[in-house]
Amino acid sequence: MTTAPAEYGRVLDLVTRVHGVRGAMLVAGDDGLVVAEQLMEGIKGPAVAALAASLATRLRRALEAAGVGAGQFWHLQAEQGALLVVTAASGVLVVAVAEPDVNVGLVRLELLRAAEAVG
Amino acid sequence: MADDVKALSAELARDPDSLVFLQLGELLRHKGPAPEPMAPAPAAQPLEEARVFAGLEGAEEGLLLLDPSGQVLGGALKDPAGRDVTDAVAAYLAGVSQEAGRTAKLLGLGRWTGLAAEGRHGHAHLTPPTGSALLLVVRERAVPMGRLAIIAQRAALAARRWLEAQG
Repeated sequence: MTTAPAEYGRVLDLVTRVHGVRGAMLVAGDDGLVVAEQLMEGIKGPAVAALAASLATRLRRALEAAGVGAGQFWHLQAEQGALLVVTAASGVLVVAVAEPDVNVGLVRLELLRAAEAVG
Repeated sequence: MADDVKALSAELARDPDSLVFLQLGELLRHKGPAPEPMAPAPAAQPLEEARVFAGLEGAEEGLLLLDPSGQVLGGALKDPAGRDVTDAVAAYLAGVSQEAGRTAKLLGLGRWTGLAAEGRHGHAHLTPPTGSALLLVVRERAVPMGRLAIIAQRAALAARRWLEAQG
């Protein structure tokens, strides 16, 4: 199932409704361009998208070389927050920017649901 | 005296049945005991302690310490088939620490402390034990991500100590 662009907002809602999530984005995994976004003011979407895609590519290659297989979910932890990413079957990245005390397990589940909806 | 020993030794070599061995023995007795063979220089520390992750679970198959350019500082990685994949993985991870740092900074998240990744066949955890080094822990999927984070914390502590000891 592939979601029409008009439905991207609904898909992102799945993620942003989780308490502690500051924003969510859909990013083209191959070129790092923003497909859709729902971000809090002040977050530079295009730059974050580019870096997230680059990091995802490096991680995928490293994980495949290690025999772990393609990365399905990754979570960048920082002192004042986190970046959580799931790769959809199409290669689109579903990205969430969150507070440090967010429920990571819940965000992961919603990201996986969103990725399934994106296709 | 050394010349006499040399000459008698040569004569004995030419004629092993010669009685010069008696003279040679006498000379060597007067010369005193042979000096002790030079003892090997003691290692700075035992081999086990010289390894970064000595004593940690998976030290030779699931723990890897790298410098920012992807060069291996310690540890090793094997894939599920048992092949050594240390260098390949290290090469792909070159620059990841800087990129993770840039991403966290751009988002105003402060210093990055870890990167947990879930693959189809296993889990991985990256952490910067010091400002520039990068530590990777890899385990099979049966090991929960939370436990992997604990293993990574212990390994990071060992890596920090080891890096400090290296100066």
